[in-house]
Amino acid sequence: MVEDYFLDLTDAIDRFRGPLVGLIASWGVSHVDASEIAQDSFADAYLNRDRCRGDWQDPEVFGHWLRGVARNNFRNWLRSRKRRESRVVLMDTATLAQTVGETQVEEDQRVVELRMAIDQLPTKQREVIMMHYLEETSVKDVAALLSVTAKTVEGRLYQARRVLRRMLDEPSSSGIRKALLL
Amino acid sequence: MNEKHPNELIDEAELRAALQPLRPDPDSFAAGIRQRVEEAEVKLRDQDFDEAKLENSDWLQVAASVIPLPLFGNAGSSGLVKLGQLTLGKKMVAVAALPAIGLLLMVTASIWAIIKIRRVQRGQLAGDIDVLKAGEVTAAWWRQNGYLLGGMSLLMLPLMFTGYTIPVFIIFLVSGIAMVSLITKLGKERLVDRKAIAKVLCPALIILCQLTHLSSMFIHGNPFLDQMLIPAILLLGGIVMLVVCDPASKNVYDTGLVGKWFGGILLVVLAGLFSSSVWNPVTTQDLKTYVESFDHARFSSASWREWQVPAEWLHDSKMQLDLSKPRALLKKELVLAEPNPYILCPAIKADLIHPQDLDQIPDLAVRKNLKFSEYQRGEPFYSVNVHIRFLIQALVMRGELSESERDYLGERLAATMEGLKTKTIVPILEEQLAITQLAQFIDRPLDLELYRDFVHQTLVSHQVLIYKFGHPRGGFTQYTKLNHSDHRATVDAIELMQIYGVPEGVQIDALRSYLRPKHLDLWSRMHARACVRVASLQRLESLPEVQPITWMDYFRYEQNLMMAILFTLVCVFATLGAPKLNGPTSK
Repeated sequence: MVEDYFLDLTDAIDRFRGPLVGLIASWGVSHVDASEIAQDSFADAYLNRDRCRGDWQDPEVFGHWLRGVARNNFRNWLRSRKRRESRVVLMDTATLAQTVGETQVEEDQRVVELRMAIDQLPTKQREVIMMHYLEETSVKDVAALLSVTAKTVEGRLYQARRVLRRMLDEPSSSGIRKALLL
Repeated sequence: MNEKHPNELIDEAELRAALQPLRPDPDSFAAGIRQRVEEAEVKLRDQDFDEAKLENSDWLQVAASVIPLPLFGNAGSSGLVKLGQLTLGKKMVAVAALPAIGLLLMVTASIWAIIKIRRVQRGQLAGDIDVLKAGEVTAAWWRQNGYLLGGMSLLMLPLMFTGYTIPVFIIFLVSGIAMVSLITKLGKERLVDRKAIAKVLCPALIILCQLTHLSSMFIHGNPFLDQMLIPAILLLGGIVMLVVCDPASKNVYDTGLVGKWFGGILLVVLAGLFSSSVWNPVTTQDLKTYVESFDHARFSSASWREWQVPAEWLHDSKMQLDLSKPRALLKKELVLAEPNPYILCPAIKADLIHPQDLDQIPDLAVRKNLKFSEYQRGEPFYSVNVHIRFLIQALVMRGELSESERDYLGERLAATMEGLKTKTIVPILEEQLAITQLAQFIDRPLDLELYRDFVHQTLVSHQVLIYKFGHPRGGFTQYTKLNHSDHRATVDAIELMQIYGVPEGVQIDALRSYLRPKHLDLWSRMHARACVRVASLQRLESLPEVQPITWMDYFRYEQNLMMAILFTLVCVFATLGAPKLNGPTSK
């Protein structure tokens, strides 16, 4: 699969930016922090690519490596959450309020409900939804980052979309629970 | 994706719309990563600079040379611990807590053993010896300590095969202590006899020889000498022990005369074989003889490629050579309808082919048109393989390459070199060398400064420093995925270092160790390979950036050999220093 190999860092970023940010966001991190952790992870994975077992330019190898680095960075982020939260609150209050205000006006109720429903999906389903639809990344690249097969990703996506449909059709909390059980 | 029941699934457009505001901006995202990478690289460069300053410190180098590197474990024993990899605190602790401990252990243990043995020897009264009693005392000692010694040996054995050097060191140490303990025991019973001690030490030395012979095959470190010298030295000690036993006397200590002669000859032959890298090394004269006497290519082009390395080195060294025999062999190839370019290319590199020899090569013009007319200027070659190399070299030698064609080829070669940066599955060292040398050959040399960093990075990443069972480390590999050294890649790497300079990250000591002489160099079947190694080592040592080996380097990497020498000397002293007593008094 030589033709699938990366040419350089830019190529790797283009391929894994969306799914990595989506993956980190699916772990319960805000999208701003998810983007920061993803950038740190890309930089760390690239700088330490010599320690990667196998050819780092092979997407499957790099995907596995990148996910491991991201998981470590996420754990570090969790440990320093208090310090980070205080910094984020101090720095971003005005900007955040403005941004949130603007987007809230534009977004309809359905979109907000859908996001809430996504948050309540089981972890594996939430991961693939965030990774696949954040930037319309191919199933193959999502699979490479998760170290699973493309079929597995497709299966999880199907299940997730079905659960989401049920959640939104029955908006009560009992409906969501029922949908999750199904 | 399965869309059998679209009504049961949430619409994909809705999902995209919900997540769209969360998308990171691609440009700022990529810029953020690049900024982080740049900052980290700057930090790394500063760190390397600081480490370089520390490594240039004289006192630290002296201290490092006497620290017992085996005590640092696997990486340390192999000399892989760069001083810079340790923090300053650890360096200080290492220097302060372990000053010359390797040397101290070796020398102190030897002096202690000699003093103890000498004291016992002086206490021995002249006169007869009770042979049976001596045997009983020895047997009792073995019953008491045999399990401990056997257990330690068994424990060390698997460790030795994993490449650690410290087990060999410990085995020598324990053997020395055991020897002193046994002699002391015999001394207490007034039974210290030269033959009695020789009888015990001779098999002990031979067993140690077998152990070290096996372990020398799996060594991790960077020894510059053949590690088979260790068993050779132990065998020499065994020969002395055997000689001490008097064949004329007929007591129970002595083997028969025939057995002794047979054993003696066997030990001498083995010791001679194991130490052949010292008494019969492959010299420059041997290289010359090999190159000049090349009249039979046993393995066709593979033999020619091996021959090319020493021939090219001797040619570069301006040595006068009589190449009539290789030329006669080459002529047989040239008269063929389609000469093998894998033979002709090495011959050209070794300056064996004259331009008029190439007149017999057919279709050069046709091949030139085929290869050159299809491609645009600046378009890279798919691969600078042997066929292209030979075609270009032959055209240059026959003067059939115009200036514009040279420009065209120069641009394509530069583009090919540039293209190598993104290729992963090519023999990259071979390609880099071929492109650089071809560009020089057509008088359109590459801008070395432009590609120096790229070549240096390739060299560093392709040196094999990880020990892999059964594969020597220190050399180079064409493919990083293979991860074991091969001679061809190592030859190419050294030639690249000659052109582009030696990168800091290449471990010269490990490379020297990979090219070290071997006892098997004596055998004719291995001779060609040995000549390749010696020629490569000579080329490496000729590079201006490569510092000559100092005694401190030997001390650092040859501790096991020194331990074997000291141990054997103590054994010889314990035997020859013991009084020679009269015959047995007991039957």
